[in-house]
Amino acid sequence: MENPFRHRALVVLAALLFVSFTLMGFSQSRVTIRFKSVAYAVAYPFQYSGVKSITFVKDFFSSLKNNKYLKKELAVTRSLLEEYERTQHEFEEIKRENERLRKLIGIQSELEYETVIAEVVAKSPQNLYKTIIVNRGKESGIERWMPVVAYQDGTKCVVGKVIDVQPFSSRIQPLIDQSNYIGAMLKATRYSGLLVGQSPVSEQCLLQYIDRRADIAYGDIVVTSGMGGIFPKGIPIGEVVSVSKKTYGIFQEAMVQPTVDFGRLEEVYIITKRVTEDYFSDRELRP
Amino acid sequence: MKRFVVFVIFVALAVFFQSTALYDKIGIRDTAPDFVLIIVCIAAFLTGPVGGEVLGFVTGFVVDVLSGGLLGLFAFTYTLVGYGVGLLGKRVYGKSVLITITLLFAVTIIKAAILTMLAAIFLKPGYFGYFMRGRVFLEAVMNGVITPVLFVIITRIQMRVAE
Repeated sequence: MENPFRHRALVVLAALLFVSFTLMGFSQSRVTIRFKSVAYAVAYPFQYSGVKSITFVKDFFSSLKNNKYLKKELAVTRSLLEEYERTQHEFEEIKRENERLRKLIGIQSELEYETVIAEVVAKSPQNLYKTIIVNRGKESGIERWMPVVAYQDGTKCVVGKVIDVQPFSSRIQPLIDQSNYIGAMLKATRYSGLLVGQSPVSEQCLLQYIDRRADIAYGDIVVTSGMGGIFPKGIPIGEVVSVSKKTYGIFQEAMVQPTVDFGRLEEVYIITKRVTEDYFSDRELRP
Repeated sequence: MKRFVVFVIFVALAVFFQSTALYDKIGIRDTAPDFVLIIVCIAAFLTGPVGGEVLGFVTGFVVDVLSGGLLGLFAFTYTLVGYGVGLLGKRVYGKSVLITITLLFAVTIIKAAILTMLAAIFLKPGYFGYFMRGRVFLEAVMNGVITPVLFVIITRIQMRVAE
């Protein structure tokens, strides 16, 4: 006798696959994008509470384990703080002098942008995507395409850009994502190129379209070029780890190891710089 | 119903856990076991194809929403996996740990193949390379090894809930 449940399973399967396939097929439509955004706004509080609970348990046990180490760290930090306080005054003096000299020789100081500090709340649950969720959104003045940086080991470095904003959270596309393009240049030689992420295939980025006359060496620092309209100029991105120079063509390429370590990223700084108009010239991305 | 709630709780925990930075730290060579897949498979094993595909779809949909990627990608994949394992589950259930390990190994490869196919259609070609690399096999081994342990834990909790 034929099992009726088998047919029921097939019917349900066909319906669910149809829904999934339709969603994928209409992934670029405004309705789907809006739906995804609303669905995420609904899911965010649950994800936030769930991830925070797991992190709390982990932190509780690691704090017990690290108690001794923390005491030692506290002593070191206190002595460092004293040292920093001493140098702070000196720094302010130098800064004032620098500004005065800049005015004297007629150079405008680099534009500085306000930043909003945000805590990394969660990441994508699948390694296929590397997006990061932070706990600042529209309520904090965050907008789509704002650049995101971090300070790790005392160095400022590019993290990525904001791609989706909710009232109390934002999604960041990291620079290693293969959909991410950043105008970059070699800090020493000033040759510029286009940095493209390689994730999920690789955690490194590819710096393309570098003039083949440029001498590139292992360890060369790559910074943002300021072109592209999103990132301000001069923010460190990473170091060159390999160079590919073919016998033909006018360009060469280099693999870049990002400075930012996504594995220990806890806080980021969102630069509240609005994207320049030229970024939208050939895109239908206008917010 | 109570049994299904246990799976929902476990799968929610798996999704949340995979959303934490801790998940990246437990991996080897940037590869970690897919706990979400494992729990969908265990649910399919124990509840059959309908339970497996429904849980697979809902879980996949949630993963898609939280990932911010292509909506429907993981919903489609986990639905198929849930159905397939649910069908096979009755035939191989309780026979041997080795069969469970082999099944999860195979399911992980199949998951990668489905994702590869869908990525080729809907995503950039660059994603194609991700699934073709050795990390898929490493993930398959990890999933296969972890499944029997999680299987025992979940079935015991289910028995207690049923009592």
